Amino acid sequence: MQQFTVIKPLSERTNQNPLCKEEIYTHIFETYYKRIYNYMYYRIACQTTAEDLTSQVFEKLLLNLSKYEEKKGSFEVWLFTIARNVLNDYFRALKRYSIFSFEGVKQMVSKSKTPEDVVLFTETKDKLSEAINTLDGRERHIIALKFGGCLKNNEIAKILNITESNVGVIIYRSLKKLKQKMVSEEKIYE
Amino acid sequence: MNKKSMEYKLSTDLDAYLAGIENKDELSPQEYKELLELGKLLIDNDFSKNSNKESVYNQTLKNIRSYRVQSPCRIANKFNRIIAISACLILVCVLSISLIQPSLAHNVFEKIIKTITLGHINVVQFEPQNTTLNIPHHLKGKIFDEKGDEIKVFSETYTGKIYTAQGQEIIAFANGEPVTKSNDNENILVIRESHDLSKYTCFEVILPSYLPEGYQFDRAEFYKNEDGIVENTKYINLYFTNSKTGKYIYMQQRYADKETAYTLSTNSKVEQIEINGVKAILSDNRGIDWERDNVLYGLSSRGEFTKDELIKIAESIQ
Repeated sequence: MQQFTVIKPLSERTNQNPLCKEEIYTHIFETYYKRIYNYMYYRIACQTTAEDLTSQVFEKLLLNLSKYEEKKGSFEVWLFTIARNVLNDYFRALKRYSIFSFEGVKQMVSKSKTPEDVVLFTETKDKLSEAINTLDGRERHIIALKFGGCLKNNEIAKILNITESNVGVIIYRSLKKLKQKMVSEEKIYE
Repeated sequence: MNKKSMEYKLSTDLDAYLAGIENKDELSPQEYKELLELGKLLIDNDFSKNSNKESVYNQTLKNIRSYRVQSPCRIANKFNRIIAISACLILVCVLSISLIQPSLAHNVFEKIIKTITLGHINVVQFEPQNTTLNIPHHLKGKIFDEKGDEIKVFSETYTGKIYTAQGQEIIAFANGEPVTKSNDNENILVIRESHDLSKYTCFEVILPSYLPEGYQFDRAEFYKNEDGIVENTKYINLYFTNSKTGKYIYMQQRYADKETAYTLSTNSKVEQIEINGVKAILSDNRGIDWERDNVLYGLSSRGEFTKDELIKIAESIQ
C-alpha cells in the first residue's frame, strides 16, 4: 500500500540543525521515491531518464527544503510541483537540443510531434505504455500524478491549477480510453 | 447511475483504495467496476521495482554535496582564471561559465566524478554528458568561428579559435561576457623586471628558484583598477619563456580571500598531491594549484614538459 507520511515541521528541523539534513533526505527519499519515480515513468517510459529526473527532483527538494512552508500547502503538492517543473525543464531542453540534432529534427519534421511524443513513441515497450501514449498531454499528466504519484484529486487540482471536479472527469475519461485501447489491442493479438 | 456521479464515485473509490480502504460494491454497473479495477491495477503497478533505487539515492547525495562545496565560489569573479587544462579550450571556457551559473552546469553535466577542495580552490572533475553543448542563452549571437559564422553549439571536436562579432579573438569569459585580446590589454600593466614585483601586490610574490632548462622570467602582468593604476592588487600573472622555442610556463598568484577564490573544472584526471608539505591539486598532469600563507598559486606547464618537472618548479617556490 502507499505511504502517506506527512513530514511535519521540516523547515524548522533543518534550520535548527543543518547537519541532520542528510538524515532527513534519506527519510524523504525512502518515503517518496516510488511515487516520484512512477510519476516520471508514466510520463517518460524510459528507465534511465526517469531515474535521472527522479534524482533531480530530490536534489531540488533538498536544496530548497528551507523554503517549504506548511501554511502554503501540503508537502506532497509542493514535492510534485517540483517534479512537474523538473519534467518541464527536461522537455524544454529536449526541444532545444533537438533543434541541433539531426535525428531530432528528422523526427520532429516527419511526425511533427512534440519532444514528449518522440520520447514516448520510441520508448514504448508494453501494452500499458502504448495505451498511455494514446492519451493527450494533459490526460497523461493527470494519470501520472494520480497513479504514479498516488495523489488525491484535490492535490492534483492544486498542482495543475484546475478544479477538483475537472480532475475527476479527466481521470474517468482517461481510464475509459486506456481500457478501450487495451481491450482493442488484445483483440488484435487474439 | 448518471455520468457525473460515476466520475465522482470513481474518484472517491480510488482515493479510498489509495488510503487502504476497499469497499465491497455489488450494485454498480459492470462498466464502472471494470474502470475501477483498471484504476486499482494502475495504483498497484510499480515501475520503480525495475529501477536502480540505490544509484539514484547516491547520485542525488553526490550532487547535493557538490553544491555545498561550490557555493562559496558562486560570486562571479572578474578574474576567474580560465586555463586550458583540457585539450579543448572552448570546452574549458564553457565549464567555467557553467560554474558561475550552477543551474546551467547542472543541465549540462550529469556527473561530477571528483571534487577536490583546498581552502579557496576547488577543482571539479566532470564526466561530460554530451560532446556538444548549446551556447548559454546570454552568449547567443556573440560568438563566431574563423569564417565569421555564428557558433550555435559548442562541440568538443571544434579546436579553432573563437571570435566576437567584430572579429576580435575571444580569450576568456568573465562575468558572462567574452574577454577579447585587445580589450584585455588596455587593462593590463606589464612589468619586465623580476625584482620588486611585490610592491604592486598586497602579498609577497615568490618566484620559482628552479625552471626547466632554457626557461627564464619573461614578464609579469597586473590588472589595473578603475583608475587605471596598479596598487595593492590581489593578482599577478607570471610568464616564464623559453626564448629558443617560444614556449612558456604560466603562473598566477593571488591573495587568498573570498573574492579571489576560484573553481577549476575539467573532464581530465585530477589528483591530490603535496607541495612542500601542503595539499595541492594536480590536474591532467599539466597544472598544479595550491594555497600557502594566504596566497593561491596556480601553475600551468601548458603540456610542454613532464609532471615531475612541474612539481619541481612548484616546490622551488618558497
